Amino acid sequence: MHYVFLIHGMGSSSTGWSKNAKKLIEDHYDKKAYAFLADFPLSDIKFVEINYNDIFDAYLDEAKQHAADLGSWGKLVKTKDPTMSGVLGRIVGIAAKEPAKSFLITHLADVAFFMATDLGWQVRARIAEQMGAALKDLKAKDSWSIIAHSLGTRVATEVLQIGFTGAPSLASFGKARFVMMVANTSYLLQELSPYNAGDVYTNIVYPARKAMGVCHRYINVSHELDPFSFIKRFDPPSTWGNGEVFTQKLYHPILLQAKDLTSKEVHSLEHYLRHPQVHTTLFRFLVDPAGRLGPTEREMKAQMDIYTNETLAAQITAAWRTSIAALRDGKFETAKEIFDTWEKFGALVS
Amino acid sequence: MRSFRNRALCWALVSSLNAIAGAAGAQEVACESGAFYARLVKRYGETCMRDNPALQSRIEQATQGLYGGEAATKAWLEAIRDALRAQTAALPAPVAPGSDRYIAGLRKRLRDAIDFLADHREPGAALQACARLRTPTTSCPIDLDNFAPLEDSGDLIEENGCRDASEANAACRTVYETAVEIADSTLVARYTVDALHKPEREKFRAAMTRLGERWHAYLYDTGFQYWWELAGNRYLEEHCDNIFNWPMTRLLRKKCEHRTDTSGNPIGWRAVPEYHVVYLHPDVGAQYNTEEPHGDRLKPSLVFQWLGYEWWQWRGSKISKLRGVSFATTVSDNKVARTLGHGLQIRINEYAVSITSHGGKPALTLSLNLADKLSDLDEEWANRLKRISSQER
Repeated sequence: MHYVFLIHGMGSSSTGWSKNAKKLIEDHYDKKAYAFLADFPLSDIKFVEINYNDIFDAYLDEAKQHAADLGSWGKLVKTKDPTMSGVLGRIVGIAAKEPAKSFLITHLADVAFFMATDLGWQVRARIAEQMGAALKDLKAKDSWSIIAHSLGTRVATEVLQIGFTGAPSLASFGKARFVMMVANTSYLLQELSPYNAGDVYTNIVYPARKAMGVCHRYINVSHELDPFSFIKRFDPPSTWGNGEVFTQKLYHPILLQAKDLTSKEVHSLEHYLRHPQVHTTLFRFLVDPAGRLGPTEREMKAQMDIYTNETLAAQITAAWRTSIAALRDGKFETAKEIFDTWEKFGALVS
Repeated sequence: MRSFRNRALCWALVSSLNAIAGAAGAQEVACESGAFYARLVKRYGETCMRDNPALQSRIEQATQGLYGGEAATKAWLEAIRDALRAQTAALPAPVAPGSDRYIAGLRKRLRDAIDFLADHREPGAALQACARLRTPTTSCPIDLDNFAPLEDSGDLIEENGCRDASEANAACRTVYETAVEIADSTLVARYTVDALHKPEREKFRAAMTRLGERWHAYLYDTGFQYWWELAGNRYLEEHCDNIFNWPMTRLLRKKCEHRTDTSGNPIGWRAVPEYHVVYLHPDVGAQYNTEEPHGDRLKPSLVFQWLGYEWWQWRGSKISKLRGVSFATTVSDNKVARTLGHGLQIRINEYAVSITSHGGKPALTLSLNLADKLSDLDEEWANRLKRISSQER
């Protein structure tokens, strides 16, 4: 059995969030379309959905409760003391403000909570716990991999870094066969972090043969129009890892172009997986760690033709394309500029 | 009639046996065909393994008694090492020209696996030590991935050979057979290595469950933290040896642990804190002030903790002996006493009491859960008194 962990990104992701992505993989995992899959039934692959969003939700609910208590109780204290209109009053005012349900709170707060608070440590522990539970029956001939999306790429990076350097160690399950990072934010969030969040180009999360690194292959997928992947894009230097990642061809970057749009949801995991180049790369390493097998040129062309027709039929106006392309012209030096771009993107896809 | 029935039964039996034999034959073909990697995947898959009692038996013999204690484990390791060496020596030599390097590569993997078994008597402890040493350029020498014939052997054996049964491919097929036999031996070694890692995996699972429970308890069973407190505490935990936190760490006799490599990448799981800072923390309470007129002495109050600490001990995954002290200001709508009072808040477990001075007059402010508790007690005592007085009557 090959266990594949699916780690979600920011925003509301409840149980069953991966249903559409799994369905898309199942639909395209077709030996009629790709003959190299013939010997490898999908039933030998087990997708394991990882959830951690409830950790952020639980905190926001608690914060909301405190804000409500403070707000209602505060009304009973009808003082006109000038001190209350100063610092103290302002902080009470901030604390009594209930978290809104805006894009900023539902999506970007997840990023801030993960990167800058101990909720991030609870998330890391939760993921490791879920992985350990899923790999309980791992046998000698079994293997495991990770597909992570958006914030999930940063989360996965940290879990692997900590898990493989910790004791007891995640290494007792062996290295991951592959790590697939979709809309990789691991470098971007490192740069955004208010603290020293380490360096993703010098940590141990890299692909290698034999015992080094944490995986055998590293697939990195980004899109020219996705502001979560084009801002401070994950782009490792030649010295990355043990210095042999590129010479041994263990890193597989895929950059989708601006024309590769089948819907407005350019950041969604499903939108990425729909592209033949993305799902065939995934399939290559799903069935064969060395990725020797793969689609023929003819098969690839047939699938790309279908995909191109879908892009042409997509309900996307020229004005929308112009607006989303214009996001790339912004400045991305400060956290505020980056968050503003994401908010604009949120407005465009909603 | 009976004879006909017997013949029919006989025919049915023979047909069934033929069908079974045919199916087995087809199974054998399915298990032993295809390109090298696909062939190994099928060979070690559930269906083909079921039909390969010899390989199953080798694995069972290799892994049995593994958890029989330290002495037994050592004896077992020596036995399995010797058995594997003997099997390796008996493996057929490659016959196809040019195949030596492929077979040599596979043999090396097997030799590595055997050496591993000989060198590491206590893999659990060794793995833990390795995890601590692991850096981007230093690997753990006992990784499972040293024994990954399935993953890498395709690089050693050409995939496009032996596709047909022609005479010209006879030598190629012999090489494949040799490679499969070596892969089998390596699989047995891999099973044993896997079995040796099992205790570590169990420890990992238990440790992660506890860690998750502790983080939850830290966030929800100690005082609630506003987002700025969460951020501040995360910062202080990662700089626990700084001038602000260092004296408190020493005073409270708590650990200061945050391990990173030279680039700041975290090393290992961070222990869940045993203390945190409380700052700029507003809350609500019930204030009792004797300076106020009768009937108006208990009233709602805002409690504002400027700065303080909470600390506790871990009992399993539970918070134990939670204590706290902070500088606090209370605000209440007083008629006689001053609105604002300054003093200290003291926390014991989930209950907190603030003692503040309102223009020199003391007031007590209770956390709401404590006020609730006291009113419950009050009711309980009243009920008891009622019961006692009714009994006396």
